[in-house]
Amino acid sequence: MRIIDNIKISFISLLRQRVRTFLTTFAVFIGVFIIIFLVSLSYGAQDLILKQITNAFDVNAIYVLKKDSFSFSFINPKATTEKQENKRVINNEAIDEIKKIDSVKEVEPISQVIGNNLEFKDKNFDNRLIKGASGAGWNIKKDDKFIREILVGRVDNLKNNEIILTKQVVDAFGKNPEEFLDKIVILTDQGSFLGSQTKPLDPQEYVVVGVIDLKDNAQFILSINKVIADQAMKNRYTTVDEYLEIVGYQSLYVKTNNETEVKDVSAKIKELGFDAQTQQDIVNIFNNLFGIVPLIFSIVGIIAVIVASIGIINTMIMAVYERTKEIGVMKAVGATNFTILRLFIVEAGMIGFLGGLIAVIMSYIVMLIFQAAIIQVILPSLGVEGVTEIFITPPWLIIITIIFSTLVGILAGIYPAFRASRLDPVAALRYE
Amino acid sequence: MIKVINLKKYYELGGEIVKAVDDISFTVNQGEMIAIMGPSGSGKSTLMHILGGLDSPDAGSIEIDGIDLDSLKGKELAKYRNKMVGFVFQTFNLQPHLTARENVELPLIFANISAKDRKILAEEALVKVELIDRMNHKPNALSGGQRQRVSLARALVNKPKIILADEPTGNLDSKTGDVILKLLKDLNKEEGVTVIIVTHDKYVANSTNRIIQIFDGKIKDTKLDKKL
Repeated sequence: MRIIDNIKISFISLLRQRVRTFLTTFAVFIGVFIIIFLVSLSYGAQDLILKQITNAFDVNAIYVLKKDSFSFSFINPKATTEKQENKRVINNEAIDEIKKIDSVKEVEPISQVIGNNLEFKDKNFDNRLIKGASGAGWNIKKDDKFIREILVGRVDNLKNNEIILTKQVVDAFGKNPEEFLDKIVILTDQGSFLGSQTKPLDPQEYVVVGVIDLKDNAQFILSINKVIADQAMKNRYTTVDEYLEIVGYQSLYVKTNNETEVKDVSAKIKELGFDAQTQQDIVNIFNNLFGIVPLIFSIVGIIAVIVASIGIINTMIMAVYERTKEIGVMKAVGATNFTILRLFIVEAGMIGFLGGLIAVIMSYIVMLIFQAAIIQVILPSLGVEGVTEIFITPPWLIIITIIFSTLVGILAGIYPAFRASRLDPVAALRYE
Repeated sequence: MIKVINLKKYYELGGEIVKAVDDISFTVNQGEMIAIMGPSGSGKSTLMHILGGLDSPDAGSIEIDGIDLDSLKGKELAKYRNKMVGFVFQTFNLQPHLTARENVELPLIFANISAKDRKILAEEALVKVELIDRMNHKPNALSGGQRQRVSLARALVNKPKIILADEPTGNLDSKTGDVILKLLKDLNKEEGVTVIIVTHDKYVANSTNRIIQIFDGKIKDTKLDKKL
């Protein structure tokens, strides 16, 4: 029997029991649909997050932290074995050493400022305050890649009593950036965690000198010197130098001359006893952590397809019973056992294939609708813009799922097909 | 030439041995038209199944043109059924979902013949049974006589040497039965096909050249050109 005739006869047989074929195919369809939908969604989400990472980080930049700061203790038990005291402090000496490395352009310390209430002194601002605002101590430069746009004012040479606000804050108050210039902002330290030895700072006034759109979720920027001075005071150090010598800066933002040097510089910084992360390192960490997510998502669908195979086995056994006499006739007119086997296996494989094919088509349509709805309705209402893709379906996913569902169908068809092929023709011809 | 030598086929039914074919020997020459006659349960259908390669004997042998049927296995046996013999059944045994022409094409499909050639051969066979105008009808749109003619076309489409007909007129009225018998006779005369009809009907048996009578699995009488 030719393959084309095999396919044709098997297909005609499928069409004879349309409802049963539909129901059996539907079960396969559900499984494959789940696989394609969830895997595409997880790829889309990963891509979105990766784009955020690559957008937010400068490819020429390296982030320096104390050793093992980037490690996750549950993944890397080594992190907890080394004592805090043995780790190098990020102080001025460290900054000088890093500056000496070839092709390092600049080294800027950055410290996080968290747990402040941000309040406007001006009556026009309805007394609205932002609780738990977080910012950074950072001598930011106007050409920094972190800045998406300087909306108003300046950013360079921050003095101790000056503050830069970000678009987030401006948007929260629903005013124009210009209206914030030269206004007085009061930052109130919300104190510290229960039981810690720190001393809360008194509320302090700052003058708004600029408003910027930042590729980060910091709400304000202060000068690093001011932040360190505050930290020293808060932690009861007598001088800033003492604080810097013992505790040091939280992190360093190191810029290299070009992208190709990043890896080398990063390695040299690590040799000095610090943790250094490049954009690529962060992307790698992300990929390592989330690479398995599509697989986890697809397990649900894989199980559904395997469960659907039970339906295929059942359908095919029914078909063998119903067509016993026809099988007898086919054998009488010259079909070999293998021919009968092929006919039923192809028929079962077709159920799997059709389920997969319909799932590919339907998931494409459903993803298009979801994507349009999410991008045009849901994301804008959340204030997210610039997202073009929610689902990413790699071509191999379609090929693999169709091969998988067809294969499951074929495997499910083996036992019924084997039974059909072994039927005694005389008994089959007498079967009513 | 068909040579049946000491053929035996026993069954066990409800603890008792049934001698369906009990030491039968006979010879059929190429181009002969014979009837194997006997009451129901006499073993004539079993004999036909063995002759057609659908069943195997417990003892004895069948030689078809010098080939021992027992030596054929699996694929060769399927090929024998496909090329050497054509079956005509009492209940027609057409595939209900296929048209008349598609039913006739079925043996050709298993013979690896292309769709184009199948169409030509199937239509030729349907012309022979005078049913070409109904070739696109499915069995349920055909009368009993027409169905049997489709079945006959299917049996002869692969140009077999032997046609085995099991009660071919059993489900037909005498008039349509006559049409089928005439077609079998014509086929025998014009194409030289050996025709073996299994029947319990004297009238049908008498329309052949020779009658082999079977009772309880044994040959009772062999009459050449004699009417019962």
